[in-house]
Amino acid sequence: MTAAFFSVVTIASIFVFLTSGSFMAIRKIGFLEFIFGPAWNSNPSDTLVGEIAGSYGILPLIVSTFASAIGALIVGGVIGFFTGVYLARFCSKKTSPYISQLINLLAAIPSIVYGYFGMMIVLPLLSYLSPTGESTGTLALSIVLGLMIVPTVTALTKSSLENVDESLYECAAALGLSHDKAVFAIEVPSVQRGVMAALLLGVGRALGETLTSVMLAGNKVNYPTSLFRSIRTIPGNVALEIDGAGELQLGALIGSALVLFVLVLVVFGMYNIVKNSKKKQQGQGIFAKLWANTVARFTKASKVVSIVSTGITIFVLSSIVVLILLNGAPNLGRQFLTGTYSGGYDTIAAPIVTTMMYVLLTALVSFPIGVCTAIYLTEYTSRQKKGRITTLIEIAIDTLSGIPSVIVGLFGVVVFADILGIGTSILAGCLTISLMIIPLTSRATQEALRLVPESYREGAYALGVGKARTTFELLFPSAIPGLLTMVILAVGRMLSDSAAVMFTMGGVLGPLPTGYLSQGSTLSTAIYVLGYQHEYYGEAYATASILIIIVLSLNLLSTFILNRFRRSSRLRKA
Amino acid sequence: MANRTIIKVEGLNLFYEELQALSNVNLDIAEKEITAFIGPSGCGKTTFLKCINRMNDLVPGCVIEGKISINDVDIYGNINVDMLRRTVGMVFQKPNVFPMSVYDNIAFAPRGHGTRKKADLDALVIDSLTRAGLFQEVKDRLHKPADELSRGQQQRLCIARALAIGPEIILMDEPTSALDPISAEIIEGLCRELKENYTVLLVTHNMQQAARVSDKTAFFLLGQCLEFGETSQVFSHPQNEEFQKYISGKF
Repeated sequence: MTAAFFSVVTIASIFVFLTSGSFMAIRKIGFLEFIFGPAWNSNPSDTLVGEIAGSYGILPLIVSTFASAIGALIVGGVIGFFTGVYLARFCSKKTSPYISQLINLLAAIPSIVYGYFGMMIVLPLLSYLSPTGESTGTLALSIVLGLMIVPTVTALTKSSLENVDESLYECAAALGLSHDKAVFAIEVPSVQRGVMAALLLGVGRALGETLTSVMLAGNKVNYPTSLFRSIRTIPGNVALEIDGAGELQLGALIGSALVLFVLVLVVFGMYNIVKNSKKKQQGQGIFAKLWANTVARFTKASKVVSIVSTGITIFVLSSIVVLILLNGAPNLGRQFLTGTYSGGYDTIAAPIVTTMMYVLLTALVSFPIGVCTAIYLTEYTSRQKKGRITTLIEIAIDTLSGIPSVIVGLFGVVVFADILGIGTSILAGCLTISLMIIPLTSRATQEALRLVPESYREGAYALGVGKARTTFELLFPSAIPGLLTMVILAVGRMLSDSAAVMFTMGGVLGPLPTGYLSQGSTLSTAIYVLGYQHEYYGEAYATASILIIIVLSLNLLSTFILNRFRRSSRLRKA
Repeated sequence: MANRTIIKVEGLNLFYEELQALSNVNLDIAEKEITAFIGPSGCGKTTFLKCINRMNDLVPGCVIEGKISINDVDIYGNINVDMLRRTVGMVFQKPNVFPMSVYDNIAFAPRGHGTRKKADLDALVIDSLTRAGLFQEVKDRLHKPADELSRGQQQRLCIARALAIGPEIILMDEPTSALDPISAEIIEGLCRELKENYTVLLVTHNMQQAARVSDKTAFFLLGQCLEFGETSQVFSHPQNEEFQKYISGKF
């Protein structure tokens, strides 16, 4: 019960933190000047009193953030959508599961790896196209963010197409429509809500990407007037300036995070509306009309686009893995993995140890709270009729899981590290990341408990077995495969996070940590520190390889567990 | 010879939100007899059954008026619900064995109720399985997963599980409707044996089953109990017009 309120308290305190932390600064700068000011040129010596030397307008940042998210949507949305259609409707039944599996695996690759790939491969390629030779900017960022959201969009499009009522297709076929026509003109329009939801989810993720943005955007404060002009996004700006920020500067950064928070909330709010809205009359929206007039007419071409998109998806995503592994392998030596630190950047022994310490403590903090929340929500509240409190908790969990890492990181560095006096350290990092892991574990545990057949509960209650015992001794053991998957997912998420870890743990590469109060880097942030900050490219590739291998094997493991569980439950039914 | 009344139901009304599922049910159920409840789907038989061990408490928006007493204790008064459910065992329509061994399925509830010694548990498991007529079939498989048993065996395991908590009353909600005819027949035979020691309330869709097995029969329609009496009497001389129609298949 207490645990369940945790998420509500967290989300409330983050909101309070964002507003109160920025209020004085924004008042000093002036609200209009802050939102609509055309220039950001901070000065760390500015305080809340006296003259302001720098300028703090975030309009270019907002516009740039949006431009790159929209660009990502165009790149990732189109490719992802058509890939989803291909996998659901054109690909042979035999190969489709393998490709989907592959794409799901690629979805697990940490975004920092995508970012590094973008920096090393996409930027040089784009510089051939660019008139000035400068390739950082909106286009580069959009492409990489787009690739990042391809797996999500593909998976959601595919699953919503697979849930289309079969009679719809049969009906179209019976009217003599070709397969292509039936798919594009009849089935796809009927899942427009599902596709919209997928796209919004993608935008939500693209808006919050932080270190990727730093690596690819160029980071000069500009309006994105050309595809190759250097830009700076809100999260990128926070990452660049948080270290050593002055009083007013920090307030303004928190203010910009508040703006980002609101933007993300709006996007997720739209997502929820789209997802839950009652089915509208078919063919009413603008998109539907546009669709009917264009794509649906050229079904042959659309089919070709689907095939090409799938090809691109498979090719690009697997080449990310292959290129990183190929470039990383030569650097994976003994000195690199286990060597002692001697001032250089030739060993990642410290990040390896730090990562282990961090995963362990974060799990210890977040799993009990997440699991208790889930138990409260599934077993101790009525399912059919949700009370206000339950709804409140669920909204809090959903919101918390959608907040970009950069915002939680900012909260962590100010509240845990400074106000509570822990300092930037592994401990502060663990506490901060826990805030993001808790909603994840809670959701996944809820799913696992819901999969336990209702008849078990009924049977146990009818025997006069109490609720607590039923939950812990009967339901939990039955939910073990689901819970294991939850643990693996959560660990994967911990390993992937970069922005919040960077802020709260200090992002330094040094000797082995001596305790939880040491500063440090995880493998994710080590990629950024090595590859972007210190230009140790080979070492960064090698670190990325290790990270990819760990994350992919975790992912395979969870698929394996799920498949085994499904198989055994199918046997049981037979 | 009339047996003592064990369950007394007076003026029972039950509502799911706005919908009235039971209206003014009055019944006296005698000890150590089989009482069958028949009627078309949605007539309130199962709902009525679930009132007796308060499984309806788990349904949100369910409101109950009236009085049910077991051995003269008002079960909607100030009592421990888990204790009630140990007095009133229940067997469901579909066998719902837990994902454990045969042995643990039976021992799960008694363990929680305080029986911890292995010897006691062993004796209890064997006794319950024997009463449910299953022991001979599964004695070599006690520690195998229960879901490897056949459906009919699973259902008898559920009955054994209910017997192991030492109930006086056993509620059976269409216990044979998910089973093949042979398994169903075994369960019917089992019911007849069980009434030596237990009071059995049997909900069934199958009129022949009610006629074959039960001592008393109650006919429900639209939440009301329209006919109740000795099974032989009820079927040969039905009083209620609707019930006449129902048993002659004109429904």
